[in-house]
Amino acid sequence: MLLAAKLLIPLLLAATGVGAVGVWDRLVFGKANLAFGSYVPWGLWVGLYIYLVGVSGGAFLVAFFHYGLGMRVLRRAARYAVPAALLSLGAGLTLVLLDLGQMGRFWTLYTRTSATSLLGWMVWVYTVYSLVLLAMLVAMALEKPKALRWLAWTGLALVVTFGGGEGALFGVLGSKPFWNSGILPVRFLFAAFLSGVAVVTFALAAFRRWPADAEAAAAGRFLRRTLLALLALNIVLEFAEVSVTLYTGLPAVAEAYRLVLFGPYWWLFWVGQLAIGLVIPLVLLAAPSGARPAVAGTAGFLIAVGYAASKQNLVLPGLAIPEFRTLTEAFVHPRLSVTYFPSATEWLVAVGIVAAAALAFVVAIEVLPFLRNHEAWGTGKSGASRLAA
Amino acid sequence: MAAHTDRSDGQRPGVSRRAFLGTAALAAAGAVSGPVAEAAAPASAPAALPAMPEDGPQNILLRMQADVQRAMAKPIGERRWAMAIDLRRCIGCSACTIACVAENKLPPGVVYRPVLEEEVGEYPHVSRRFLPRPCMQCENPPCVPVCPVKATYARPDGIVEVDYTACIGCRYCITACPYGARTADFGEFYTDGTPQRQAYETQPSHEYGRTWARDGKASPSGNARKCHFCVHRLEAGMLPACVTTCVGYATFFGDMNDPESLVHELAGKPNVTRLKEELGTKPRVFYLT
Repeated sequence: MLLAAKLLIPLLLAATGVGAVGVWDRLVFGKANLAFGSYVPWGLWVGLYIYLVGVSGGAFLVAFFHYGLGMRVLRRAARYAVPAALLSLGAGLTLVLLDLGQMGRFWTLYTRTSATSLLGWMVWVYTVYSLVLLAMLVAMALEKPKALRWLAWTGLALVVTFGGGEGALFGVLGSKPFWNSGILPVRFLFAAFLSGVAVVTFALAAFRRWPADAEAAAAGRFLRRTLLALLALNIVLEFAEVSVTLYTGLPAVAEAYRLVLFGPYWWLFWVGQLAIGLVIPLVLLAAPSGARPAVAGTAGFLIAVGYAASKQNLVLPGLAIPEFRTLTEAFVHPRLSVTYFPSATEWLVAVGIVAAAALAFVVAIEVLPFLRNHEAWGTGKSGASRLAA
Repeated sequence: MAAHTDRSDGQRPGVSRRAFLGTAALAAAGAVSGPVAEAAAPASAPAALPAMPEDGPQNILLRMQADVQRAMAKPIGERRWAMAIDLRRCIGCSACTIACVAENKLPPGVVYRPVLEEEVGEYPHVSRRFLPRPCMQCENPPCVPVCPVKATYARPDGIVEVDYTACIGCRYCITACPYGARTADFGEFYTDGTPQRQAYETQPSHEYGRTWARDGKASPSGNARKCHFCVHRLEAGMLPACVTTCVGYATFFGDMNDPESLVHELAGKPNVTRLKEELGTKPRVFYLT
């Protein structure tokens, strides 16, 4: 067993156990102990859901590079990427399931799907995507490269659909000026790619069971360049959004950005997004040692944390500006407030679900032979030599 | 507040305002000259009341109720319910809010018709203005297309309904409403944390013509909820609770497809406005300013 697995499994087991208390609370006491309300109807769980689904899409991109495009240099990474994509998707969907007011009716999302609802469509896309991921795991176990290639291309189409679709869920809401933007789906897609590639880069460093050979070095260089390129792209997209909307100066949007920068969650932006998610990883990756597994892995971990913060920073400020300035004073109740901080139950559930997904990942790469065998077959021909150059 | 000269109070033409004012003036004069009048008239003499004209002032509630009953006699697709709120008459008493809570047995944190209050101007020219905000029952409701399970829809009479038996409680519709008119039922009770839940909290509501007994878990708990123009009262020929309880006669209701209805008359006034018209939602709640 890998050293990281030996260290992490007890920790993740404990975190999952703690999270189970939160899930029990949610199932027994309903929504009584959740801190969100009607004016902030989505909280920590929804922010984490869109983040984890994005991680899934980004992790899949790594798998696509190998299985779809034949980049042999990523064959080890791809083997981690597929289960990472499946488990992060599962964690995100579990969180949003627990968020439903009537959980027992979730199946009506399939039987009563509204053709006009993006959310309705997304449920089907997620379902097909999860089936593709499961099929990929089977194809990996059975060593079926042709099937994997076909599945990788199908999966990519689904990733682009839901990666952008997640942004569209928010972008189409004319009621929320902070979200209402045509660029939001594009931002979501590339943020998803970045966070997913970052998670896989971290996993490769943390759970390395192969020698530091030329292939590992080439993979490190490729992932480093990919992360740097995606970081740059995300900076450009976010700058475009922020600068244009702030220059326009619509009061509701400007107020939301003021909250992001100087509101009660200022630390989420300055510390989480900017320092942890951008500046430190940028320095680490740009340094000459940036391609080393430990350095790239650390940068990947920090990017993953920073982009989790960025999703919270999108959901919460968008809801923190009421539709009318005095709405919250018109009828006073804790559920009719725009100030929100997650409750203990919300934290416990969030930690528990993420820990359970991470635990399942660690166990899977230790137990499943086709994930454990690092020298297993790989598709692709000349990728390694081309990228190593 | 400016005097009304546009008959937005709903009184029909032919009402003898002159006679009314004359009587009022007499009454005022009597009050001022009380001791003189008392001295001049015997204490036991009955007060002479002016005769009520045959086409005299009709209570606007009765007129609107007649409007509702006329509309209810038509097929549902031929009605278009609408509300008008005269902001000059609203005194911010929140009687409509409370009547709505009582009528629909609303639990904590759920409100259909809050009254927004705002202070305007600078000292010494300061005033407060009030804006009751029910559901706008939009002609293009942004809450409807986003629902993933078709649990909310516009009825043929224009009322946007929530099917409590289908709503999964995702709250996407709540975020989509530009008026903040939807709230979520978290299954709470006013007496949570006390030794005993009170009987008034488990009284069933009759929203959408069905009986809904809340137990904190079954619908409508866990659902999105909103104003529905008291459709259950309309079906019984009654006005919405907020209309009947408005002490200032500031809220009007009726069928926009009926040119004889009061609300149709008011919606044609030049001082009519609607909230956030730029969003293209086409609200069916008009404000008279």
